[in-house]
Amino acid sequence: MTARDPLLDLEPSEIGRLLIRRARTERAPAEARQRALSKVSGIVAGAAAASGVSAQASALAAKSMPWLFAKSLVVGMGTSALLLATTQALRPQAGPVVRTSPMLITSARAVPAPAVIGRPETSAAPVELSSLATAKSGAQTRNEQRSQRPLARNISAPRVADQLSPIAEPMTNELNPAAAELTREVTALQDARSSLARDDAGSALRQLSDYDRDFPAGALRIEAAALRIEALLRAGQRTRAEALGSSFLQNHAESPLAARVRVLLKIDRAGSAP
Amino acid sequence: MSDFGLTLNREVPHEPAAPAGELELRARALVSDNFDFIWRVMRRLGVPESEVEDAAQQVFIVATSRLAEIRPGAERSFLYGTALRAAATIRRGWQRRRRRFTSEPADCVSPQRTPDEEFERQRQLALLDEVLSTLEPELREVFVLCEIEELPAPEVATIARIPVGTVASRLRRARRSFNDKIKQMTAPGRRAP
Repeated sequence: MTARDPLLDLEPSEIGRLLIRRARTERAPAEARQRALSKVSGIVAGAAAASGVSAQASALAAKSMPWLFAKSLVVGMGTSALLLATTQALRPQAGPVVRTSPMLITSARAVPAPAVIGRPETSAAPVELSSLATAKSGAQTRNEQRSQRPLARNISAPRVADQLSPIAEPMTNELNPAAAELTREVTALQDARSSLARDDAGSALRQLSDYDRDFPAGALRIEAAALRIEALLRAGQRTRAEALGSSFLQNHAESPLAARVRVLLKIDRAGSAP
Repeated sequence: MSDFGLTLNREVPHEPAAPAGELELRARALVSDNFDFIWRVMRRLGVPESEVEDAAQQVFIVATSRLAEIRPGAERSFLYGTALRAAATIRRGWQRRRRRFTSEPADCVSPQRTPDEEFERQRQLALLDEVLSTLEPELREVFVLCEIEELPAPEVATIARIPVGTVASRLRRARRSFNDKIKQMTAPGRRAP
């Protein structure tokens, strides 16, 4: 028989205050903080390295384009690079294994990036990593709505986090297919980008065709389109690249990749003919 | 009321990409300054100790990926908001899987605490978590942010995306439920959790 907790012999109000004071002083383990520090450092470092894959384009932009366009190019690539780097960081890696659990994404297993906004054609970046940061979680209950003035914001907006890949779900295909799908998309585009970095535009175009076949409604199709334009230019198919570029700029003028596409097409015109 | 930087990506004009060194410094500062808070918040929102490190780490990974969009000074609100939604996701996942997680104490014994003190600390936190688990989720979130993290009501309103008035009313109801639960637990014959 479990003994009565002596804490419960105090006055209820005193118990509440004591428990809250106790909670305020709780600290995370130093090792956990250190692992998190290592993780975020790795992500930033990975993004910097991934940005180097497209360094050639940015260097040419800096030479031939106004500073504003060059910065837009870096930002656009940086966003993509950070996405890919973050996903890379979540892949299995050698080295210290983060304490894992069967229930959550961990850095020691092949897991997808946390989340994606499912409307890449309207979002400013090709892919968002955190729908959690923008999802609404504080919808009022019906009673609260009746008793208070309605919010100016749309409090009935669907909870994006419910629809997309919550970061804390087990990352198995069975339980989180959306997140697993995103991982495959990112991997596919990363392979194409790697091919371009090796000056193998032919392979990149084949990989992008595979992407189109495998992900006809992919979340990263804008990114894939921009990558295809670059691959076509590198493969010497300028006419087709310009046609796709024109369509891209028409349909995705607000995308950060639009500046990149403009730079690529102008670079090709300014440079030597392939 | 300021927006504390919680805007959709498409609403934020693109800023020039900061050098990798500056970004890393900022990301590391984000973790150093806020890891304890996020840890506590997630624990008090029902994330078991066996899961909280992974969950907290994911919150910071998300924040790192969006660092360029977060206004300086708004990092904590961003982190709290993400942590709230992550904890809610974890709770939903548990309910769906119908598993009961047993919390094992984290390996965070302070060298300054004796074993008895550590045992007492764990028991009190377990008692607190038991009481908090009886609160409705939206009340629990406000209670944790206001009472334990001592955030001002306007900031809680921004994090939880509710009006300040709703924060106040939820806090009143949460305090009432919290105190009622403790009174129940102090009733004669009550066993320890």
